[in-house]
Amino acid sequence: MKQIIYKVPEGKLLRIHLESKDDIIVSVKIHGDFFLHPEECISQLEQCLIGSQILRQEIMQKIDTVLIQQSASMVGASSEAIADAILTEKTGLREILPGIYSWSYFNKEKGYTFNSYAFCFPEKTILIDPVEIPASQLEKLSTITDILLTNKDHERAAYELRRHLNAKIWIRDFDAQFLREPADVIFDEKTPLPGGFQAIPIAENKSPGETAFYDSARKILIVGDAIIGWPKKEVSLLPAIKYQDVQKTIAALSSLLHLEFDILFVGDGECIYDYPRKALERLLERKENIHLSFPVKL
Amino acid sequence: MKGRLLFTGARCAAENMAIDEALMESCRAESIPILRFYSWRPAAVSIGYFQGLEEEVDTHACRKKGVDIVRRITGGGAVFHHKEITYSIILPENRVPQNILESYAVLCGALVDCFKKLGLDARFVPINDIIVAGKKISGNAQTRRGGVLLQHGTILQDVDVDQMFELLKVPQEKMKGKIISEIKQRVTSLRHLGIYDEGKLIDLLKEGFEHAVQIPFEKSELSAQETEKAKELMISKFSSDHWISLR
Repeated sequence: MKQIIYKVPEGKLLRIHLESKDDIIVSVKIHGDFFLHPEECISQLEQCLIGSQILRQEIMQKIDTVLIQQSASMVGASSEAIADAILTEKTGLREILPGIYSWSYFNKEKGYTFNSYAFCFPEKTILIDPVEIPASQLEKLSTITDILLTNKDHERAAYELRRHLNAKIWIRDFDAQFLREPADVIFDEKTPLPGGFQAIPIAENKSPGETAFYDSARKILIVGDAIIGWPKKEVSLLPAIKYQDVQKTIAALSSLLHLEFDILFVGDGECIYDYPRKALERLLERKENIHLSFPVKL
Repeated sequence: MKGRLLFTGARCAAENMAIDEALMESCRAESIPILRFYSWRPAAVSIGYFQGLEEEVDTHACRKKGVDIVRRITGGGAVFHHKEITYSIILPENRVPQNILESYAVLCGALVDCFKKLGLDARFVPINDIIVAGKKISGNAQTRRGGVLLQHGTILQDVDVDQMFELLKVPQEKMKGKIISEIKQRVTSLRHLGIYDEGKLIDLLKEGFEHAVQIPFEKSELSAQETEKAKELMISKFSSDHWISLR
């Protein structure tokens, strides 16, 4: 059972005790200093969430249905606040594989999460495409020495974290000129990267320097914007407008199939732990629904 | 119509909360508004209906210091009731706006009027606070059931934030020091504002509520039936472990 502490914007403090399995809520208790009239309705609110997927729309819909049925009103919290609090839990720092942590930011506009990764080694930790996170949450990891960026648009919270952690920012040569602040190390496909990652250049993509990182020992491929983890267990491309020639983009992505990878970590959307190469193959074979349109429908 | 004005003195936490609920029942039966003033002996911590006991309260420290613990029937946050004036106003729901925030504004308006008459720069800050010169002096909480509304609230006469946080927990224990110093900056009391005349303050509060709900309040006593009901609720509900650790 995890406890989520969430300050509702302009509202009260929620303390949610949540147990979930495979992103399905198994049990939940909603505590806090909010108001709900009638008060007893809280049990129904908690009950209605059991079995719900941890998806913003679904959580909100279930709570709103109970509030309407019971003619109940909530003050200082709302269905939206509870959904956001529960999603925070999904997006906070968590160990996704031994020694590999992830944290995310749910982008309401786009409708999916922006993910960041921390690969921990005994003497150092390497971050990839980090989104904002309280530095205190990273304290339990070994010293953070390097921040790898997959492309020019994934600067995210890299500069703030660099200032705070004194870590080096790495970017591919073609993208270096586009960064808001200079990188510390500009690499190309031959540069040895910290953590033993291999830089995999992705041609014909949204950014000229789009790069995937490959952990050959663990057979993990980490992509930035090259492919998006959406819908669940599938991958897609960003909207067509982001690319010069989609056919060339697709053709270039097929080079990824030369790599042996069992796990795909995505910068945007949902990671794939089962047969990610198959998902990529399906994308390359698809004639329709290749692209996302924002906001993606959950 | 005249409302009833009750002074029930200093009582233990469970009894205070039981009287509030018993008065709601009376009001439901008789539709007569009630304004009650009271205090707490021994000092007590009350927690909001939805709060987790162990999350909010250092129960061990409370026991050691002889501080009562009670769960309220209203939502809101944990409060240390020590040196304060506490009121409850109980009235048929249809006498205030149906909208919850608006009804807080009306009833808290009584407190704001009272402070203004004392020459203080007071203001209602939604959802349920009153601030004087930018600092919180009063917290309030409402519940509604069976067509009756109860709002109870506190006015701090004096405040000892350090003592308060020996009894209350904070969400991030590591940050406790910082949180305490921030709260010291954000909370004030009648003593800090140089207001010592409790009788005058209560008279002004009564006037404020009379103006807010447009009813005169006349001194009354708890009826035998109310006393009996309160006793029953105190034993069966408010002092029971089941209720206190409900969440």
